[in-house]
Amino acid sequence: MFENFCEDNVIVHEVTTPYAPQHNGLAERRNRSLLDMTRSMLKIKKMPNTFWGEVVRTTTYILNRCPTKKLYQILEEIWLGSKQSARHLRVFGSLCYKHIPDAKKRKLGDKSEPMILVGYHEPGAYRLYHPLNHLIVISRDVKVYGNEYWDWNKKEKSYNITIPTIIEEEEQIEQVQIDIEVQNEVHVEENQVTGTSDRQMSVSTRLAGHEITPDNEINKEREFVHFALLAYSELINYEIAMTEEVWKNAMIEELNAININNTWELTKLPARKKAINVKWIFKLKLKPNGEVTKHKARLLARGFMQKDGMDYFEVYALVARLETVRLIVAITCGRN
Amino acid sequence: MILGVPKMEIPSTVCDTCLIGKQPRNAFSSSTTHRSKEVLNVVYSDVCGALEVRSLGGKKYFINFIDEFSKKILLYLINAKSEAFDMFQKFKVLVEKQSGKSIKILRIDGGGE
Repeated sequence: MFENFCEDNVIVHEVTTPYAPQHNGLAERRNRSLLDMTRSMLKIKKMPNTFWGEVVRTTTYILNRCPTKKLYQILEEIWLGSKQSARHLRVFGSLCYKHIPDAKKRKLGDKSEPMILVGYHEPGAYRLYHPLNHLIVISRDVKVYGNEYWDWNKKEKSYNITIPTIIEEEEQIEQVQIDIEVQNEVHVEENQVTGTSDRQMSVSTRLAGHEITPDNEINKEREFVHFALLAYSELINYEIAMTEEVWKNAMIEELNAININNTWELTKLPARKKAINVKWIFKLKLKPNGEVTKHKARLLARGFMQKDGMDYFEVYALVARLETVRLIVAITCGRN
Repeated sequence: MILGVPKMEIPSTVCDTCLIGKQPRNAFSSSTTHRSKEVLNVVYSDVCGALEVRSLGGKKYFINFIDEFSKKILLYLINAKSEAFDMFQKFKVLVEKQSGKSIKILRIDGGGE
């Protein structure tokens, strides 16, 4: 496939001799520089290794803006033939603050949020990583602090809490309390960010004190944090229901109820009319703690099979209408 | 130097036993021949990976293309080595459009890509 492609495009495809990566020297040497830089950049900012993709991209970006030993010119300039600027380069992985656009912010909302610089975006912008909700965003309004970095071992906003080395017991307790407060704050914040609207969302009192995670959150092993196994489920199929004793009993119960209430009477089908189908609906009634209290079956008329203008108003709900009740009351009053 | 050892002469003929027993690799020339007169004459490429952790986007490899003349690198993250060919096609279109030249020689190692 590849050979054909090369032939079609008149490209000489040189495969180096086996076990001689030295023949592919330029590529191999560059790979080494790339990985060396990647490793050092990850280490100095103590970033997790999963960031290698972003780092490797940034290293190419930087290497393309550097001269080499042989060529006393910036590579990108040879390539593009125009002068390049290095004024926008910043220290990778630094803590930085991204300006929040006015449209996305309430009057008293924060004007910026902490982010991590993870790369450059072509027309003069930066790629930023949001360490709390794990998103990559692109922004041009960024203040970068080249010496600071995010503390990856803690999930909270730990960078601005300075813990003194010698503390008395009382102070220590205070410190812990502050930590907890910060933690709560962060959780609320996470909730706000994951919501689709920009409105202020507050955690309901019922959920206060619980850790709240979004439904689709995934842990480190890429498994869902939340999942539930259904012990009992409701059936949709009549055939399957017939095979199970509980559901069969439920259906018999429903039929008896219909007979007792005189819901129907049997009539002949008018000429050239179709009968409306019926359908069984199976419902599980649960106690508040999730225990099954009752299996319930309902027989329903498939009302949507009627047609507007033909037989739409022929069928009434099984419930007494308020007007009817009122009418009966009026008649009884009138005739004493 | 040592008493009693007769003077030895280095044999000028090629000896079977020597070759089988201790043939070294030929030396690589320290300076590579620079063949490019302009951009995209020769392009080197190599796939690196698999790395031990996946990147944020779930990728495991990266492939780089290096132009011999400008030494400029273009780098793509890929999921598997089989994607290398797709990436080359992508790279070729991009690069030829940018420079107005076409790739003449592509040099890669035979690592299954």
